[in-house]
Amino acid sequence: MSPRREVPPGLTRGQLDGWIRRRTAYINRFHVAHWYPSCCVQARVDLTAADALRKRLNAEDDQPGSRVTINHMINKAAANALRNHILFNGKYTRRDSAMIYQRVHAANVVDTGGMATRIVIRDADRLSLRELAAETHRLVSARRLTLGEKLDRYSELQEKVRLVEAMFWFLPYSSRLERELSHERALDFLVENPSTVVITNPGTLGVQDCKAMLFFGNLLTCLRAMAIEEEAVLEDGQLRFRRVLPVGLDYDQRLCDAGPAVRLLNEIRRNLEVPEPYLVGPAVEDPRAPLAWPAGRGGEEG
Amino acid sequence: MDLVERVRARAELLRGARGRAAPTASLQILVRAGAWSDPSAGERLARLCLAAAEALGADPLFAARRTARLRVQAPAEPVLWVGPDGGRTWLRLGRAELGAGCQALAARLSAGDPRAEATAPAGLEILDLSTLGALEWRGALLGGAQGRLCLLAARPAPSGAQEAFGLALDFDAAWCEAGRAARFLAAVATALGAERVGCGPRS
Repeated sequence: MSPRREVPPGLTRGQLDGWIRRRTAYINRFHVAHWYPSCCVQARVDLTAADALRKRLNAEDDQPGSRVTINHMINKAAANALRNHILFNGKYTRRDSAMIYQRVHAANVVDTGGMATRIVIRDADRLSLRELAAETHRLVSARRLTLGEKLDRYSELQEKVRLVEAMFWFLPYSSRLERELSHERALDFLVENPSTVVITNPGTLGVQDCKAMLFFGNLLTCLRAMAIEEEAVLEDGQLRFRRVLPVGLDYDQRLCDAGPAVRLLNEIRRNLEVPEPYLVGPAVEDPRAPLAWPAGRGGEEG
Repeated sequence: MDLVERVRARAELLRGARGRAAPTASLQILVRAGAWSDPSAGERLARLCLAAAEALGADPLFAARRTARLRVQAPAEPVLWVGPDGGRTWLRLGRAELGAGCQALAARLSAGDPRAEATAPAGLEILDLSTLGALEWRGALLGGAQGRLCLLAARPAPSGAQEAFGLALDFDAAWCEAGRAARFLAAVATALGAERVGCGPRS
Protein backbone atom coordinates (compact mmCIF):
# COMPACT_ATOMS: atom_id res chain seq x y z
CA MET A 1 0.00 0.00 0.00
CA SER A 2 1.47 3.35 -1.00
CA PRO A 3 1.94 5.97 1.71
CA ARG A 4 -0.78 8.60 1.84
CA ARG A 5 0.31 12.21 1.97
CA GLU A 6 -1.50 15.41 2.77
CA VAL A 7 -1.22 18.31 0.32
CA PRO A 8 1.59 20.62 1.43
CA PRO A 9 0.46 23.92 2.99
CA GLY A 10 0.93 27.35 1.35
CA LEU A 11 3.49 27.56 -1.39
CA THR A 12 6.74 29.42 -1.08
CA ARG A 13 8.70 31.13 -3.84
CA GLY A 14 10.76 28.04 -4.52
CA GLN A 15 7.65 26.00 -5.13
CA LEU A 16 6.17 28.38 -7.69
CA ASP A 17 7.19 26.21 -10.63
CA GLY A 18 5.35 23.21 -9.27
CA TRP A 19 2.36 25.42 -8.64
CA ILE A 20 2.33 26.55 -12.26
CA ARG A 21 2.39 22.98 -13.50
CA ARG A 22 -0.55 22.17 -11.27
CA ARG A 23 -2.50 25.23 -12.32
CA THR A 24 -2.13 24.65 -16.05
CA ALA A 25 -5.63 23.30 -16.55
CA TYR A 26 -7.11 26.34 -14.85
CA ILE A 27 -4.87 28.78 -16.65
CA ASN A 28 -6.01 27.31 -19.96
CA ARG A 29 -9.61 27.36 -18.87
CA PHE A 30 -9.41 31.02 -17.89
CA HIS A 31 -7.42 32.00 -20.95
CA VAL A 32 -8.83 35.12 -22.54
CA ALA A 33 -10.26 33.05 -25.39
CA HIS A 34 -12.28 30.88 -23.00
CA TRP A 35 -13.68 32.92 -20.19
CA TYR A 36 -17.04 34.46 -20.59
CA PRO A 37 -19.08 37.38 -19.34
CA SER A 38 -20.14 36.56 -15.82
CA CYS A 39 -22.68 38.46 -13.75
CA CYS A 40 -23.34 38.25 -10.06
CA VAL A 41 -26.40 38.86 -7.95
CA GLN A 42 -26.37 38.88 -4.17
CA ALA A 43 -28.88 38.42 -1.37
CA ARG A 44 -28.91 38.20 2.42
CA VAL A 45 -30.51 35.24 4.16
CA ASP A 46 -31.95 35.36 7.67
CA LEU A 47 -30.54 32.30 9.44
CA THR A 48 -32.84 32.28 12.47
CA ALA A 49 -34.95 29.33 11.31
CA ALA A 50 -32.01 27.45 9.77
CA ASP A 51 -30.04 27.76 13.02
CA ALA A 52 -32.95 26.42 15.02
CA LEU A 53 -33.37 23.46 12.67
CA ARG A 54 -29.66 22.68 12.71
CA LYS A 55 -29.58 22.67 16.50
CA ARG A 56 -32.62 20.44 16.68
CA LEU A 57 -31.24 17.93 14.17
CA ASN A 58 -27.88 17.81 15.90
CA ALA A 59 -29.52 17.34 19.28
CA GLU A 60 -31.39 14.34 17.89
CA ASP A 61 -28.22 12.78 16.45
CA ASP A 62 -24.83 14.16 17.47
CA GLN A 63 -22.62 11.62 15.66
CA PRO A 64 -19.65 13.54 14.13
CA GLY A 65 -20.15 11.72 10.83
CA SER A 66 -23.65 13.03 10.35
CA ARG A 67 -23.65 16.44 12.04
CA VAL A 68 -25.52 19.02 10.02
CA THR A 69 -23.77 22.35 9.44
CA ILE A 70 -24.87 25.55 7.77
CA ASN A 71 -22.66 24.52 4.85
CA HIS A 72 -24.75 21.41 4.28
CA MET A 73 -27.92 23.46 4.47
CA ILE A 74 -26.62 25.90 1.85
CA ASN A 75 -25.79 23.01 -0.47
CA LYS A 76 -29.18 21.44 0.01
CA ALA A 77 -31.00 24.73 -0.48
CA ALA A 78 -29.14 25.34 -3.73
CA ALA A 79 -29.71 21.82 -5.06
CA ASN A 80 -33.42 21.97 -4.23
CA ALA A 81 -33.83 25.36 -5.87
CA LEU A 82 -32.03 24.21 -9.02
CA ARG A 83 -34.72 21.59 -9.52
CA ASN A 84 -37.05 24.46 -10.46
CA HIS A 85 -34.36 26.48 -12.32
CA ILE A 86 -32.70 23.75 -14.31
CA LEU A 87 -31.25 26.20 -16.85
CA PHE A 88 -28.48 26.96 -14.34
CA ASN A 89 -27.58 23.29 -13.97
CA GLY A 90 -25.06 22.59 -16.69
CA LYS A 91 -21.60 22.93 -18.07
CA TYR A 92 -19.74 24.15 -21.10
CA THR A 93 -18.88 21.54 -23.66
CA ARG A 94 -17.02 23.80 -26.07
CA ARG A 95 -16.21 27.46 -26.17
CA ASP A 96 -19.72 28.55 -27.12
CA SER A 97 -21.93 25.60 -26.29
CA ALA A 98 -23.34 24.23 -23.10
CA MET A 99 -25.28 21.20 -21.96
CA ILE A 100 -28.07 21.33 -19.39
CA TYR A 101 -28.48 18.28 -17.14
CA GLN A 102 -31.59 16.88 -15.57
CA ARG A 103 -29.84 15.50 -12.50
CA VAL A 104 -28.32 17.88 -9.99
CA HIS A 105 -24.79 16.91 -8.94
CA ALA A 106 -23.57 19.61 -6.57
CA ALA A 107 -19.84 20.21 -6.35
CA ASN A 108 -18.52 21.57 -3.11
CA VAL A 109 -15.23 23.41 -2.94
CA VAL A 110 -12.92 21.97 -0.30
CA ASP A 111 -10.03 24.13 0.82
CA THR A 112 -7.12 21.86 1.58
CA GLY A 113 -4.71 24.61 2.56
CA GLY A 114 -2.59 24.45 -0.57
CA MET A 115 -4.93 23.72 -3.42
CA ALA A 116 -8.69 23.90 -3.61
CA THR A 117 -10.51 20.86 -4.87
CA ARG A 118 -14.09 19.75 -5.15
CA ILE A 119 -16.20 16.91 -3.97
CA VAL A 120 -19.39 16.02 -5.77
CA ILE A 121 -22.66 15.15 -4.08
CA ARG A 122 -24.61 13.19 -6.63
CA ASP A 123 -28.36 13.82 -6.84
CA ALA A 124 -28.11 16.32 -4.02
CA ASP A 125 -31.71 17.39 -4.52
CA ARG A 126 -33.03 13.85 -3.99
CA LEU A 127 -31.18 13.27 -0.73
CA SER A 128 -32.52 14.32 2.61
CA LEU A 129 -30.56 16.92 4.54
CA ARG A 130 -29.23 14.28 6.93
CA GLU A 131 -28.11 12.04 4.05
CA LEU A 132 -26.40 14.96 2.34
CA ALA A 133 -24.51 15.83 5.53
CA ALA A 134 -23.31 12.25 6.00
CA GLU A 135 -22.25 11.97 2.36
CA THR A 136 -20.34 15.28 2.56
CA HIS A 137 -18.44 14.22 5.71
CA ARG A 138 -17.48 10.95 4.04
CA LEU A 139 -16.32 12.50 0.76
CA VAL A 140 -14.34 15.34 2.35
CA SER A 141 -12.29 12.97 4.51
CA ALA A 142 -11.57 10.72 1.54
CA ARG A 143 -10.68 13.64 -0.72
CA ARG A 144 -8.19 15.17 1.71
CA LEU A 145 -6.33 11.89 1.88
CA THR A 146 -6.03 11.22 -1.85
CA LEU A 147 -5.55 14.69 -3.31
CA GLY A 148 -1.77 14.91 -2.81
CA GLU A 149 -1.26 11.76 -4.83
CA LYS A 150 -3.49 13.04 -7.64
CA LEU A 151 -1.66 16.35 -7.83
CA ASP A 152 1.68 14.61 -8.16
CA ARG A 153 0.31 12.47 -10.99
CA TYR A 154 -1.10 15.55 -12.69
CA SER A 155 2.26 17.35 -12.45
CA GLU A 156 4.00 14.41 -14.08
CA LEU A 157 1.43 14.37 -16.89
CA GLN A 158 1.95 18.07 -17.51
CA GLU A 159 5.67 17.48 -17.95
CA LYS A 160 4.96 14.84 -20.59
CA VAL A 161 2.43 17.08 -22.35
CA ARG A 162 5.01 19.86 -22.55
CA LEU A 163 7.54 17.51 -24.03
CA VAL A 164 5.08 16.31 -26.67
CA GLU A 165 4.12 19.88 -27.47
CA ALA A 166 7.75 20.82 -27.93
CA MET A 167 8.23 17.91 -30.32
CA PHE A 168 5.09 18.50 -32.34
CA TRP A 169 5.02 22.28 -32.49
CA PHE A 170 4.34 22.03 -36.21
CA LEU A 171 0.90 20.47 -35.70
CA PRO A 172 -1.76 22.39 -37.60
CA TYR A 173 -3.18 25.28 -35.67
CA SER A 174 -6.75 23.92 -35.75
CA SER A 175 -5.86 20.69 -33.96
CA ARG A 176 -3.93 22.58 -31.30
CA LEU A 177 -6.90 24.86 -30.82
CA GLU A 178 -9.20 21.88 -30.51
CA ARG A 179 -6.98 20.42 -27.81
CA GLU A 180 -6.87 23.71 -25.95
CA LEU A 181 -10.62 23.94 -25.90
CA SER A 182 -11.07 20.45 -24.47
CA HIS A 183 -9.96 20.67 -20.89
CA GLU A 184 -12.33 18.22 -19.37
CA ARG A 185 -9.75 15.49 -19.23
CA ALA A 186 -7.21 17.75 -17.59
CA LEU A 187 -9.76 19.11 -15.15
CA ASP A 188 -10.71 15.57 -14.21
CA PHE A 189 -7.37 15.24 -12.48
CA LEU A 190 -8.14 18.03 -10.11
CA VAL A 191 -11.88 17.76 -9.73
CA GLU A 192 -14.27 14.91 -9.92
CA ASN A 193 -16.17 16.17 -12.84
CA PRO A 194 -19.69 14.78 -13.01
CA SER A 195 -20.72 17.96 -11.16
CA THR A 196 -23.30 20.28 -12.68
CA VAL A 197 -23.12 23.24 -10.30
CA VAL A 198 -20.47 24.49 -7.90
CA ILE A 199 -21.05 25.82 -4.40
CA THR A 200 -18.22 27.52 -2.58
CA ASN A 201 -17.94 29.02 0.85
CA PRO A 202 -15.13 31.55 1.21
CA GLY A 203 -17.02 32.84 4.23
CA THR A 204 -15.27 30.20 6.34
CA LEU A 205 -12.09 32.22 5.75
CA GLY A 206 -13.76 35.45 6.89
CA VAL A 207 -14.52 36.82 3.43
CA GLN A 208 -17.30 39.41 3.63
CA ASP A 209 -17.78 40.10 -0.03
CA CYS A 210 -16.70 38.45 -3.20
CA LYS A 211 -17.20 39.30 -6.83
CA ALA A 212 -16.72 37.41 -10.08
CA MET A 213 -15.65 33.93 -10.97
CA LEU A 214 -14.01 31.87 -8.31
CA PHE A 215 -13.91 28.22 -9.19
CA PHE A 216 -15.91 27.72 -12.32
CA GLY A 217 -13.88 25.15 -14.15
CA ASN A 218 -16.35 24.37 -16.91
CA LEU A 219 -19.58 24.88 -14.95
CA LEU A 220 -22.21 27.45 -15.76
CA THR A 221 -23.15 28.52 -12.27
CA CYS A 222 -21.40 29.20 -9.00
CA LEU A 223 -23.14 29.89 -5.72
CA ARG A 224 -21.00 31.42 -3.01
CA ALA A 225 -21.62 31.99 0.66
CA MET A 226 -19.86 34.72 2.62
CA ALA A 227 -19.09 35.12 6.28
CA ILE A 228 -22.13 35.24 8.53
CA GLU A 229 -22.87 38.69 9.91
CA GLU A 230 -24.98 39.95 12.75
CA GLU A 231 -27.41 42.71 12.00
CA ALA A 232 -29.82 44.68 14.11
CA VAL A 233 -33.49 44.76 13.12
CA LEU A 234 -36.40 46.65 14.59
CA GLU A 235 -39.46 44.43 15.01
CA ASP A 236 -42.61 45.69 16.71
CA GLY A 237 -40.62 48.44 18.32
CA GLN A 238 -38.09 45.94 19.72
CA LEU A 239 -34.48 45.85 18.68
CA ARG A 240 -33.12 42.37 18.11
CA PHE A 241 -30.00 40.92 16.54
CA ARG A 242 -30.16 38.22 13.91
CA ARG A 243 -27.58 36.25 11.98
CA VAL A 244 -27.59 36.81 8.24
CA LEU A 245 -25.74 34.96 5.52
CA PRO A 246 -24.78 36.93 2.40
CA VAL A 247 -25.02 34.67 -0.66
CA GLY A 248 -24.11 35.43 -4.24
CA LEU A 249 -24.76 33.76 -7.55
CA ASP A 250 -22.37 33.98 -10.49
CA TYR A 251 -23.82 33.03 -13.86
CA ASP A 252 -23.16 33.48 -17.54
CA GLN A 253 -24.88 36.57 -18.81
CA ARG A 254 -25.22 35.06 -22.26
CA LEU A 255 -27.29 32.21 -20.92
CA CYS A 256 -29.96 34.10 -19.06
CA ASP A 257 -30.91 37.52 -17.76
CA ALA A 258 -30.83 38.84 -14.26
CA GLY A 259 -34.51 38.00 -13.65
CA PRO A 260 -34.18 34.18 -13.62
CA ALA A 261 -30.94 34.46 -11.65
CA VAL A 262 -32.59 36.57 -8.97
CA ARG A 263 -35.55 34.18 -8.85
CA LEU A 264 -33.18 31.26 -8.31
CA LEU A 265 -31.41 33.17 -5.56
CA ASN A 266 -34.76 34.02 -3.97
CA GLU A 267 -35.72 30.36 -3.96
CA ILE A 268 -32.44 29.45 -2.29
CA ARG A 269 -33.16 32.12 0.31
CA ARG A 270 -36.70 30.82 0.84
CA ASN A 271 -35.39 27.27 1.31
CA LEU A 272 -33.06 28.48 4.05
CA GLU A 273 -35.50 30.84 5.73
CA VAL A 274 -38.40 28.37 5.71
CA PRO A 275 -36.42 25.16 6.10
CA GLU A 276 -38.96 22.70 7.50
CA PRO A 277 -41.01 22.18 4.33
CA TYR A 278 -38.32 22.96 1.75
CA LEU A 279 -34.98 21.79 3.12
CA VAL A 280 -35.25 18.66 5.23
CA GLY A 281 -36.48 16.22 2.60
CA PRO A 282 -36.04 15.82 -1.15
CA ALA A 283 -36.67 18.81 -3.42
CA VAL A 284 -40.22 20.09 -3.74
CA GLU A 285 -40.88 20.42 -7.45
CA ASP A 286 -43.00 23.23 -8.73
CA PRO A 287 -44.59 22.14 -12.04
CA ARG A 288 -45.46 25.75 -12.86
CA ALA A 289 -41.89 26.96 -12.63
CA PRO A 290 -40.95 28.30 -16.09
CA LEU A 291 -37.40 26.98 -15.91
CA ALA A 292 -38.14 23.52 -14.48
CA TRP A 293 -37.31 20.40 -16.48
CA PRO A 294 -40.32 19.76 -18.78
CA ALA A 295 -42.69 17.16 -17.33
CA GLY A 296 -42.62 13.81 -19.08
CA ARG A 297 -39.32 14.51 -20.85
CA GLY A 298 -36.55 12.02 -20.13
CA GLY A 299 -33.06 13.25 -19.45
CA GLU A 300 -29.50 12.07 -19.58
CA GLU A 301 -28.37 9.33 -17.28
CA GLY A 302 -25.06 10.89 -16.34
CA MET B 1 1.65 65.58 -16.34
CA ASP B 2 -0.80 67.16 -18.74
CA LEU B 3 -3.75 65.43 -20.34
CA VAL B 4 -1.96 64.49 -23.54
CA GLU B 5 0.91 62.90 -21.66
CA ARG B 6 -1.52 61.10 -19.42
CA VAL B 7 -3.48 59.65 -22.35
CA ARG B 8 -0.24 58.62 -24.02
CA ALA B 9 0.93 56.89 -20.86
CA ARG B 10 -2.37 55.02 -20.58
CA ALA B 11 -2.11 53.95 -24.22
CA GLU B 12 1.31 52.48 -23.46
CA LEU B 13 -0.18 50.58 -20.56
CA LEU B 14 -2.99 49.25 -22.73
CA ARG B 15 -0.58 48.20 -25.42
CA GLY B 16 1.50 46.38 -22.84
CA ALA B 17 -1.53 44.46 -21.73
CA ARG B 18 -2.75 44.06 -25.30
CA GLY B 19 -5.99 45.54 -24.08
CA ARG B 20 -6.74 42.38 -22.16
CA ALA B 21 -7.68 42.16 -18.54
CA ALA B 22 -6.99 39.06 -16.48
CA PRO B 23 -10.08 37.14 -15.32
CA THR B 24 -10.14 39.12 -12.12
CA ALA B 25 -12.00 38.08 -8.99
CA SER B 26 -12.22 40.17 -5.84
CA LEU B 27 -12.50 39.29 -2.17
CA GLN B 28 -13.23 41.68 0.62
CA ILE B 29 -12.84 41.46 4.39
CA LEU B 30 -13.57 43.93 7.15
CA VAL B 31 -10.94 44.81 9.75
CA ARG B 32 -11.73 46.77 12.88
CA ALA B 33 -10.23 50.20 13.28
CA GLY B 34 -7.65 50.39 16.04
CA ALA B 35 -4.13 51.44 16.78
CA TRP B 36 -3.10 50.55 13.23
CA SER B 37 -5.53 53.04 11.69
CA ASP B 38 -4.57 56.06 13.86
CA PRO B 39 -3.69 58.87 13.75
CA SER B 40 -3.53 59.91 10.09
CA ALA B 41 -4.42 58.46 6.70
CA GLY B 42 -0.76 58.57 5.68
CA GLU B 43 0.41 56.47 8.61
CA ARG B 44 -2.50 54.08 8.15
CA LEU B 45 -1.45 53.46 4.57
CA ALA B 46 2.20 53.15 5.59
CA ARG B 47 1.29 50.47 8.14
CA LEU B 48 -0.76 48.67 5.51
CA CYS B 49 2.24 48.72 3.17
CA LEU B 50 4.49 47.21 5.83
CA ALA B 51 1.90 44.55 6.62
CA ALA B 52 1.44 43.71 2.94
CA ALA B 53 5.21 43.39 2.50
CA GLU B 54 5.31 40.99 5.43
CA ALA B 55 2.48 38.92 3.97
CA LEU B 56 4.22 38.86 0.59
CA GLY B 57 7.23 37.26 2.24
CA ALA B 58 5.08 34.19 2.88
CA ASP B 59 3.20 34.26 -0.44
CA PRO B 60 4.91 36.21 -3.22
CA LEU B 61 2.38 35.25 -5.89
CA PHE B 62 0.40 38.47 -5.48
CA ALA B 63 3.45 40.56 -6.34
CA ALA B 64 4.25 38.45 -9.38
CA ARG B 65 3.60 39.28 -13.00
CA ARG B 66 2.56 36.97 -15.77
CA THR B 67 5.32 37.14 -18.35
CA ALA B 68 3.95 34.48 -20.70
CA ARG B 69 0.86 32.38 -20.87
CA LEU B 70 2.22 29.72 -18.54
CA ARG B 71 4.81 31.71 -16.66
CA VAL B 72 4.74 34.10 -13.76
CA GLN B 73 7.73 35.86 -12.30
CA ALA B 74 7.80 36.85 -8.66
CA PRO B 75 10.23 39.55 -7.50
CA ALA B 76 13.03 38.32 -5.26
CA GLU B 77 11.92 40.69 -2.50
CA PRO B 78 8.58 42.36 -1.75
CA VAL B 79 7.86 45.19 -4.14
CA LEU B 80 4.87 47.47 -3.73
CA TRP B 81 3.30 49.94 -6.07
CA VAL B 82 1.35 52.32 -3.89
CA GLY B 83 -1.28 54.86 -4.85
CA PRO B 84 -2.28 57.08 -1.90
CA ASP B 85 -5.46 59.12 -2.01
CA GLY B 86 -7.16 57.13 -4.76
CA GLY B 87 -4.01 56.82 -6.85
CA ARG B 88 -3.49 60.57 -7.18
CA THR B 89 0.19 59.79 -7.13
CA TRP B 90 2.05 56.51 -7.45
CA LEU B 91 5.15 55.31 -5.71
CA ARG B 92 7.29 52.22 -6.04
CA LEU B 93 8.45 50.81 -2.72
CA GLY B 94 11.28 48.32 -2.46
CA ARG B 95 13.25 46.92 0.43
CA ALA B 96 15.08 50.20 1.14
CA GLU B 97 11.91 52.28 1.44
CA LEU B 98 10.06 49.65 3.44
CA GLY B 99 12.98 49.30 5.83
CA ALA B 100 12.97 52.99 6.67
CA GLY B 101 10.13 52.68 9.17
CA CYS B 102 6.53 53.76 9.38
CA GLN B 103 7.03 57.53 9.91
CA ALA B 104 9.51 57.89 7.07
CA LEU B 105 7.31 55.83 4.80
CA ALA B 106 4.26 57.98 5.58
CA ALA B 107 6.23 61.11 4.75
CA ARG B 108 7.39 59.57 1.52
CA LEU B 109 3.88 58.52 0.55
CA SER B 110 2.55 62.03 1.04
CA ALA B 111 5.21 63.35 -1.34
CA GLY B 112 4.58 60.93 -4.19
CA ASP B 113 5.34 61.94 -7.73
CA PRO B 114 2.30 62.43 -9.98
CA ARG B 115 4.51 61.80 -13.00
CA ALA B 116 5.16 58.25 -11.87
CA GLU B 117 1.78 57.14 -13.17
CA ALA B 118 3.23 56.31 -16.56
CA THR B 119 5.34 53.48 -15.18
CA ALA B 120 3.91 50.00 -15.59
CA PRO B 121 2.95 48.47 -12.24
CA ALA B 122 5.46 46.12 -10.70
CA GLY B 123 4.83 44.12 -7.58
CA LEU B 124 1.68 44.26 -5.52
CA GLU B 125 -0.44 47.30 -6.21
CA ILE B 126 -1.92 49.02 -3.16
CA LEU B 127 -4.67 51.52 -3.75
CA ASP B 128 -5.94 53.73 -0.94
CA LEU B 129 -9.60 54.60 -1.43
CA SER B 130 -10.30 55.10 2.28
CA THR B 131 -9.78 58.85 2.04
CA LEU B 132 -12.35 59.10 -0.74
CA GLY B 133 -15.13 57.27 1.05
CA ALA B 134 -15.39 54.26 -1.29
CA LEU B 135 -17.04 51.26 0.41
CA GLU B 136 -16.80 48.63 -2.32
CA TRP B 137 -14.31 47.83 -5.02
CA ARG B 138 -13.81 45.45 -7.84
CA GLY B 139 -11.01 46.10 -10.28
CA ALA B 140 -9.52 44.46 -13.35
CA LEU B 141 -5.91 43.37 -13.45
CA LEU B 142 -3.96 44.52 -16.49
CA GLY B 143 -0.53 43.85 -17.82
CA GLY B 144 -0.14 40.44 -16.21
CA ALA B 145 -0.39 41.77 -12.65
CA GLN B 146 -1.44 39.13 -10.12
CA GLY B 147 -2.74 41.21 -7.25
CA ARG B 148 -4.11 44.53 -6.11
CA LEU B 149 -4.88 45.38 -2.50
CA CYS B 150 -7.40 48.13 -1.91
CA LEU B 151 -8.04 49.90 1.39
CA LEU B 152 -11.67 51.01 1.59
CA ALA B 153 -13.38 53.57 3.77
CA ALA B 154 -14.47 52.90 7.34
CA ARG B 155 -18.05 51.88 7.98
CA PRO B 156 -20.06 50.82 11.01
CA ALA B 157 -19.16 47.21 11.76
CA PRO B 158 -22.01 44.66 11.72
CA SER B 159 -21.58 44.08 15.43
CA GLY B 160 -19.69 46.00 18.06
CA ALA B 161 -19.24 49.70 18.47
CA GLN B 162 -15.95 50.09 16.63
CA GLU B 163 -16.07 50.90 12.94
CA ALA B 164 -14.29 48.74 10.41
CA PHE B 165 -12.29 49.31 7.24
CA GLY B 166 -12.81 47.25 4.11
CA LEU B 167 -9.80 45.50 2.63
CA ALA B 168 -10.30 44.19 -0.90
CA LEU B 169 -7.99 42.02 -2.97
CA ASP B 170 -8.19 41.63 -6.74
CA PHE B 171 -6.55 38.47 -7.97
CA ASP B 172 -6.24 36.49 -11.16
CA ALA B 173 -8.71 33.60 -10.95
CA ALA B 174 -6.68 31.56 -13.41
CA TRP B 175 -3.63 31.51 -11.19
CA CYS B 176 -5.05 31.60 -7.75
CA GLU B 177 -8.10 30.22 -6.02
CA ALA B 178 -10.15 32.10 -3.49
CA GLY B 179 -8.78 30.22 -0.49
CA ARG B 180 -5.26 31.35 -1.16
CA ALA B 181 -6.38 34.94 -1.71
CA ALA B 182 -8.41 34.87 1.50
CA ARG B 183 -5.41 33.55 3.43
CA PHE B 184 -3.28 36.36 2.03
CA LEU B 185 -5.86 38.90 3.19
CA ALA B 186 -5.91 37.26 6.60
CA ALA B 187 -2.11 37.43 6.75
CA VAL B 188 -2.22 41.15 5.97
CA ALA B 189 -4.79 41.70 8.73
CA THR B 190 -2.68 39.71 11.17
CA ALA B 191 0.47 41.66 10.28
CA LEU B 192 -1.48 44.87 10.82
CA GLY B 193 -2.56 43.67 14.24
CA ALA B 194 -6.16 44.33 13.22
CA GLU B 195 -9.13 42.24 14.30
CA ARG B 196 -11.23 40.81 11.49
CA VAL B 197 -15.00 41.14 11.54
CA GLY B 198 -17.23 38.15 10.92
CA CYS B 199 -17.25 34.44 11.62
CA GLY B 200 -17.43 31.39 9.41
CA PRO B 201 -20.80 29.97 8.39
CA ARG B 202 -19.83 26.48 9.60
CA SER B 203 -20.50 27.46 13.21
